[in-house]
Amino acid sequence: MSELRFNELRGEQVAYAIRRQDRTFLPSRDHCPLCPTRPGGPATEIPFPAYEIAVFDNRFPAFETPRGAAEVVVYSDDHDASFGTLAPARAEALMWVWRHRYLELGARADVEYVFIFENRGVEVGVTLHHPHGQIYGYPFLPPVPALERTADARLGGCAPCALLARERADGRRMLYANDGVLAYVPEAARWPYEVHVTMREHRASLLDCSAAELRLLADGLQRVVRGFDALFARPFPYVMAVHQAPTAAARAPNGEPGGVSPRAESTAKKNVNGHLHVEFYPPLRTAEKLKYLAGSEQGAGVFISDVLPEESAAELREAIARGA
Amino acid sequence: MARKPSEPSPKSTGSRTVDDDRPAKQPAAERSQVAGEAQAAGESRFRAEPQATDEPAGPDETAGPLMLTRLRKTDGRALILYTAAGDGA
Repeated sequence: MSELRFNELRGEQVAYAIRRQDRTFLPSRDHCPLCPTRPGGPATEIPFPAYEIAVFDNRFPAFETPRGAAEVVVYSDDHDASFGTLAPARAEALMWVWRHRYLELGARADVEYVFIFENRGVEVGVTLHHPHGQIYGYPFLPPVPALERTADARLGGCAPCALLARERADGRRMLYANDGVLAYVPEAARWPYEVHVTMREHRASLLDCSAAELRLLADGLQRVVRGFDALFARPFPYVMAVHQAPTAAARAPNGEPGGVSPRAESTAKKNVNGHLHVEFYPPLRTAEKLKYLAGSEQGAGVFISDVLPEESAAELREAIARGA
Repeated sequence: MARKPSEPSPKSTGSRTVDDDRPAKQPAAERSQVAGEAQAAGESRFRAEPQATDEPAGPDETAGPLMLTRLRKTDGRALILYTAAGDGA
C-alpha cells in the first residue's frame, strides 16, 4: 500500500509506493510480461495465446483500493506494435476501452480523478517496450487538472474552449484537423514539440463523445504520433496525457458512487467541469538531444524553451504529412 | 471504504462503423475454447469473475462495440479482455 504525504511548500501530495522499486525493468522480449502466454512459453500477465486489448491491475501499483487504482492497458498482443501503428479500428477500440475504464473507475468512491496516459520510450522512463498505457485513479484531484479548473475561472468559462478559439483564429500552430478534433502546438508550449489534441466541441469527458467523435479522436492521436515518428525518422518518445473532467463531482451528494449503470453515466454526463483533450510532452529538442528539466524548471517552475512553438509547428505539420 | 462497482454484463452492442484493416477476429467457437482454456488455467492462476446480477438487462453501452471478458488472478488482481464484437459474437 502506498503512502501519501502532503508537501506543504509545494502544496501537493507525494505518493510513496516503495514496492515499485522492484518492478520489472526492461526485460528481454522473451520474458515480456505483456506478451500473450504462448504454448510452452513463460506465463505472462495475459494467459491467452492471443488477445486484442487487455486491462489489468498493475502488479506494482502506485495507487490501489481503497485509495485509488493503477491499471495497465495493453494495446495489442504484438510486441513490436505502437500506438501509431495500430490498425485504425484497434485505435478506435482503445478509445472505447478508455471510456469504459473512465466510467468504471470514476464510479468508485476512492477515485477522484481518472488519469489515462502513456509513457513511450526509455527517455521518459519506460520499463516495458510492449505497447501499453496506464491508468491511475487518484484518490484526490491532482495539481495539473486542478490548475486547468483554475484556468477556467481565470478565463471566465471553459479554458480549453477559449484556447482552441485562439489557436483557430491564429492558425500558425495548427497541425491537423478532422471533424472531431484539432491538433496544435499551444501558444505557450513548455516542451519544444508539445502538442495538444482537443475536441472541437465541448466534451467534458470520453462519456460525452459520440461514436464518431471517438473514432475521430483516435485518428487525430494517431496522426500526431505518426508525425512524431516521421519528424526525426525514429521512434519518438513522449508522455501522452488524457485530460478530462474529475469524477468526484459526478457522484451523488452523499458520496456514494453511482455504480456502472445508465443512471451513473447520466449523472457523470452532467459534469461539465473539464474539456477532453490529450496533451503530448515529448522530451526531445532535436533528434539526439533531450530537453532536461533543470534549475529553472525544477527550482523556479519556469520552462525555458529553445524553439518557438510556431517553428516547431511548421516542422510537425510537414512531418505529419509525411507520416500520414 | 470503497464500494466495489457493479459490473456491466459482458455483452456486445452496436455495430462497427469502420471498414477496417483490423486483424482477423476469432470465431465465436474459438473464443469459447480460449475462454474454456482460461477457466481451466484458472485452477492455478485465475478464477472466473462472477457476473453482476443487479444490472438491468438490455444494451450495455459502457463498452460500446466491445465485448468484455472479466477474469481475476489468484492474487486478486482483475484482468479484462476487450474484443471487437462482430462476426459470430
